Amino acid sequence: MIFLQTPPSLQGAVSWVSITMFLLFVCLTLGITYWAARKTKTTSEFYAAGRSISGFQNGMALAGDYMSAASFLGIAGMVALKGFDGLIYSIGFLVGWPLVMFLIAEPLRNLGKFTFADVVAFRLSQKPIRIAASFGSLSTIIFYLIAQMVGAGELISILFGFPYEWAIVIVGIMMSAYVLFGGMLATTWVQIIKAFLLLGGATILVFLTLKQFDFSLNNLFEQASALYGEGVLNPGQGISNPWDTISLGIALMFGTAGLPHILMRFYTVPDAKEARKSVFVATGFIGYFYILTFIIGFGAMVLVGREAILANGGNMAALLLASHTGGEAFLGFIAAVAFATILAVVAGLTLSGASTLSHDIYTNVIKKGQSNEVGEVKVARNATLATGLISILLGLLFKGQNVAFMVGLAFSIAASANFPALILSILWKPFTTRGAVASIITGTTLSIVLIALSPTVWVNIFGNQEALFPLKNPALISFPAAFVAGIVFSLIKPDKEAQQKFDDEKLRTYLGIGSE
Amino acid sequence: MNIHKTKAEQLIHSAEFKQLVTLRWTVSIVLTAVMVFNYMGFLYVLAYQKESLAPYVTGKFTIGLLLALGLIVLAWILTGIYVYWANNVYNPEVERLKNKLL
Repeated sequence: MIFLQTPPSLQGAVSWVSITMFLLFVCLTLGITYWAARKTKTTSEFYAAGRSISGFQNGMALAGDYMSAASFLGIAGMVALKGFDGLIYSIGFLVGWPLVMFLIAEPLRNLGKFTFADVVAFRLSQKPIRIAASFGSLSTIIFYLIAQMVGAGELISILFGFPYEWAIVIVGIMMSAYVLFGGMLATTWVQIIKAFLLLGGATILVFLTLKQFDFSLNNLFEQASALYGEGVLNPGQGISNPWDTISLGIALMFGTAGLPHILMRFYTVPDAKEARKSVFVATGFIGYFYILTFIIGFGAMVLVGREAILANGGNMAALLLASHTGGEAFLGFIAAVAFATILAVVAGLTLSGASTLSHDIYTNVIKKGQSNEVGEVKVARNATLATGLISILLGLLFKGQNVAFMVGLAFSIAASANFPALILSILWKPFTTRGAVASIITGTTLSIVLIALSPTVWVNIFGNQEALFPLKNPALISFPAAFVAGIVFSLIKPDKEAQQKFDDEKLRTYLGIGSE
Repeated sequence: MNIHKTKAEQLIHSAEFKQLVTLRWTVSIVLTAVMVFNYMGFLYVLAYQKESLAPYVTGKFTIGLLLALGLIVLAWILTGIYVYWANNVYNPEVERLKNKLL
């Protein structure tokens, strides 16, 4: 696939500095895990770090959870090769955050305990909602995890010279260790350290780059357009089907507010006030990060050149730029940061998958909410091992496959299955159990079926002549369909009890009375 | 317990609590609409009238680039407005209503 033709220049240069940096990171994070393990005994400590994380820390951790290696390397590469258009993706990833704050963060924090299914199930029937919500959650997490694991395997095998399989196993063991022993507390600190390293590394990279242009963005843009034409500064060059852009826009914007591993983070802060503060901090850092990747992309375009970037498969633009501006040591540093970035993201996903399996399925479906503390933490740890093992297997299974569409799919499911059920349960009094189940099932299955029939999968992967569904991202259809299903099925058979409970829960939703 | 429950029920059905809930969603939905409208508007222009984004405003900064950066800044400003409002208007009111239950 895309990484196959890597000139030895990038491969050899990285080895010793990056491995030293990486080992430092491993020692630091394992030390934290050891410290966190002693504080992780109850369910609230395992899933939610004992609700002891401050708003600012959680904001950093949210940013660390969200800024993946794919966006750092992928978007910088896309900007380097396509110019302005790469920025469109970044903006889509960012604009979901204000929505998380305005619509979801506070009611979620006040009503729930550990997962977003807590909120949907609050006034509805536990069993069907938990099963349906787990279906939506796990689909989102699995597609996101596959994309991250395959990307991790390819990236690490290039940077550190290990075989792909080794890279997958190392990542799998590391992330499982953080979550297994240190629970949410260790995961949070891994994400905070990673966010700090990534933002710091990218800032230095931008500084070194702009230094070569007398700290003038204008000079950078001038040289870029002199080399590759005015087109690089003009938006919309690569847009063929406008509906594609809008569909992807919907998935990115509303998907952020439906990502289970992001939503889970709001339970780590003490109250709703800290929850909204954490979104403010996260939005600030993530926006700053995307501006940096944009400049890094242009810097790579001019200083490294498109030919060299293409020769390295397109995704190595940021690393080539690091090598060009800061030499071997800096390249090693950035490579280690990329590795840390992957670990933090997959650890968050693993914890979220494990909490769905143990809290939603085991405790609330199998044990009907009757499990004891010690038992549930044990189950959560087993679920972590299972999730870790499954990710390793999926990473090995999808080796060499084109998994780029899976991030878009994960966002589409999050936007169409998780977000509508969540917002309707918070805002809409007549919402019923049947409506919620119908909405989640519709959103998830439509997303999966339509993407299978789309040009990205039906044509590019299955090799058919023509796509049965014209858009690359299904959200344009699946997002409204999930709302329609939820509303229609609720209105067909109203549920008086659920409506009564809607009023009863209001003091908790808005004043935080009785929140955990 | 019973007295407490009636107090809670009274509060839920009181005009001031209902007002607070309405105000909270009005603020949220207006801010959401501003974000969605601007982002979707940007995508619309990008898809159908991309030429209008190409002219330079200053130096090598095109309108499109400034609008894109503007969207990032807008996200910061809107979240800032919400936090400011919630901390200075919403939360004091929440505390006042909570004290009524004591």
